[in-house]
Amino acid sequence: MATPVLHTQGVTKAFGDQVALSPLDVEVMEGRIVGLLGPNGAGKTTLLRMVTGITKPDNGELKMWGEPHHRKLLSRMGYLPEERGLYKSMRVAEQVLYFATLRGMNRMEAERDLKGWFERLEVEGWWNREVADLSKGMAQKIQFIATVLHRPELLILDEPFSGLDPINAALVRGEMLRLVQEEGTTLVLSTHDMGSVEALCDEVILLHQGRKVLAGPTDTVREDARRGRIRVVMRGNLMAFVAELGARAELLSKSTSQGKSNEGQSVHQIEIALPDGWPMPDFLSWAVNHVEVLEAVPLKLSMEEVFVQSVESAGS
Amino acid sequence: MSRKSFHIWLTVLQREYVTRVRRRAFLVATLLGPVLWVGLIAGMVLLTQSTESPAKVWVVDHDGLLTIPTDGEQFLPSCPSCYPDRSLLDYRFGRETKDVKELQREGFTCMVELDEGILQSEKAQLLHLEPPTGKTKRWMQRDLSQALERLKVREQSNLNYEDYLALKTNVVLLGIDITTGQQKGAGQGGLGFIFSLFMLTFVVVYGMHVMRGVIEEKSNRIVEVVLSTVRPGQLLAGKIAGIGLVGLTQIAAWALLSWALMLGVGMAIEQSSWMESWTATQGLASGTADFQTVLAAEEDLAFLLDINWGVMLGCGAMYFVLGYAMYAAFFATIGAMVEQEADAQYLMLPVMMPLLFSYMLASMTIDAPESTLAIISSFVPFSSPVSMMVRLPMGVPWWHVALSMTLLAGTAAFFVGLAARVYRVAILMYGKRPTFREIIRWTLRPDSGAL
Repeated sequence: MATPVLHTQGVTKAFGDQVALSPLDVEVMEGRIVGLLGPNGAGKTTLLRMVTGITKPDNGELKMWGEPHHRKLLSRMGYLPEERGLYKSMRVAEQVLYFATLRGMNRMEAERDLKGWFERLEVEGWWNREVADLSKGMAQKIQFIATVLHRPELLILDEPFSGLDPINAALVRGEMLRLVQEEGTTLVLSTHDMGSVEALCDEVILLHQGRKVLAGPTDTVREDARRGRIRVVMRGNLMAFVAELGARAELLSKSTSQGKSNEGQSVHQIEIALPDGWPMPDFLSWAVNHVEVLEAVPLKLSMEEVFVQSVESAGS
Repeated sequence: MSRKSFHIWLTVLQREYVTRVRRRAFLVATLLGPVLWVGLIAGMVLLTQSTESPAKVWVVDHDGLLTIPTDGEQFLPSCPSCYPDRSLLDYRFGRETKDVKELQREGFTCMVELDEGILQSEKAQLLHLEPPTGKTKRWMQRDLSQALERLKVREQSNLNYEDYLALKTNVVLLGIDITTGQQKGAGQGGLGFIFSLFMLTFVVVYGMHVMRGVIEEKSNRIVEVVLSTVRPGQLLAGKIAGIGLVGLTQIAAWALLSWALMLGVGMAIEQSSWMESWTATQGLASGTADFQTVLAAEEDLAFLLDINWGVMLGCGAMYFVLGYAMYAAFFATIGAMVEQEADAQYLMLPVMMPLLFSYMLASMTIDAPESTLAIISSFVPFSSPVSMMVRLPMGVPWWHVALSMTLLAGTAAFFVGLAARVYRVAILMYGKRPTFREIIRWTLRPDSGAL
């Protein structure tokens, strides 16, 4: 079995009386794009700060590439925090090279690679410009370059698209995918942008109040979160059908559209949540005895719905 | 420190240094400093030229070397022509010393005491109520030298030229303030005060640079990126060292430029017509005087030639490094505790207090550099960088300097260590200022920080 890039076991962290992380077990495998999700104050930043060596866990085990975490491993990571800035008194390229040098990169090699990155992210003209002259979006791109220039094996990006217009967001997204696909970089993406999570992440980890409430491959998580929800389009006596359904399943919504049927009968659409012991084929076998089923599809939840549902159920 | 840690520290130091020394403000300040410094000395020269006042001298000839008694217990010089009439210098002769009240009552400004010892030592005490100007003192030395030479020649027979040369006399008058007993003039004290003022300014200015740097990193949130690569202690140490090096660069630049400027001013004076007229008024042969002669002739400036500038600058640089390191640790702690500079204002007061106190002490100890207060304050690490600079030009026992620096170095190391413990936690705290209890806890629990 492959060694995970990141592995935590029973990791905790508290600041005074406030518990930031309850015992937490997390695993990130090499070459994957993992979304780290959670509402504000869930403990995401605390976990990322531990991984990036800024703080230490109070208890538990934190391993990187199979080794207990230590500072020498930090140069194998790139970290773009949510709240980020640049030194205003430095020039753009000089600043990026400063970070690359800090991370142990050879200056000449860094300069050569930096030119490539400037071309790819379309910021060629900014090499010798003052940082103070950068727009927010431009600064975001420079910060992204500073994070990836030293070719980290693990890239941790906290809200990497904030401040970027759709064109530049797509440009950065494309580079992130290229790093994963071509260079085998592992990517941990912390974001509230669920569209990006759906588009990019192979796996998600959802934290709430310092605890892990959901984890797994994105598709599986979305499927699991569906909880037997289906949409049924049918013709027949809706009232009688609902009465017959009774407490067997939860009726989520119902609607009727007139004149859609050749026979002049109304077509109804209902959304129901089937209990665990009543799979969809069994339900359909039962339903056709009561109404004419025109269409039945599993309801697919968006990541946003998964997020809200998971947080709400964890909260309750 | 491992090689990698050293590399990181050096990279941080380099950034802090380079980004500051290339600022226009730094260049302007570095170039203007020496101009101000030389201007100050030039001002002192002009001041001494414009405040020339007549001197009335009571010459006490204990052993009757240079005087002869007259009727009515009066004494006259045995060589009247040795004391030419001058509007700014008037001699009276006697065999008995006068106390301060007598001198004041009779309008004397100073008293010279002579005995047979002067024939060998060629030195005499010049006890003054008001220090004579350099020119007046030079006249006195030349008059007395001439009178003594005549005395020596008179006692010889069959004098050949070599014997005559051996009898040539150059009397040196040692100025002593008759009321305070201080041998040194005010010049050294003034110079020490100027050095202490520079020290205070440098420590505060560069300490504030550290604080601003920390606040900048914290407020624009870049610190989180940096700390994912650099230990907080490394970042702080690199910052303090880099900014300190900027201060040292400025000190070195000021010293070099001041020296070059003084050299230039000296050469300009030597080649000016003013030099010719000055040489003539001093009774010197044309072309025999240089800028150093001018300085030596001025009582208020002659001390500049006696100062050991190497020791002054070396000690000044060391006191700056150590004092700055200690205060920079305080300023960095304040910077880490706040998110904007305005919030730091009231926290700075307790840090500034010892410095301001030592500055007040410095101004008090110009006149009494060897007072108990001055000596103690030059050992106390919080005030020693400023206080010792006042004492240094007067001459300080080497062990005073060694002890003072050792205490300062130890205290600075202690506080830098404590500051690093507070810094690494406080720098990542937003929205809430740490309480005093939290700060104490962080300093006592060194394992509560970064990886």
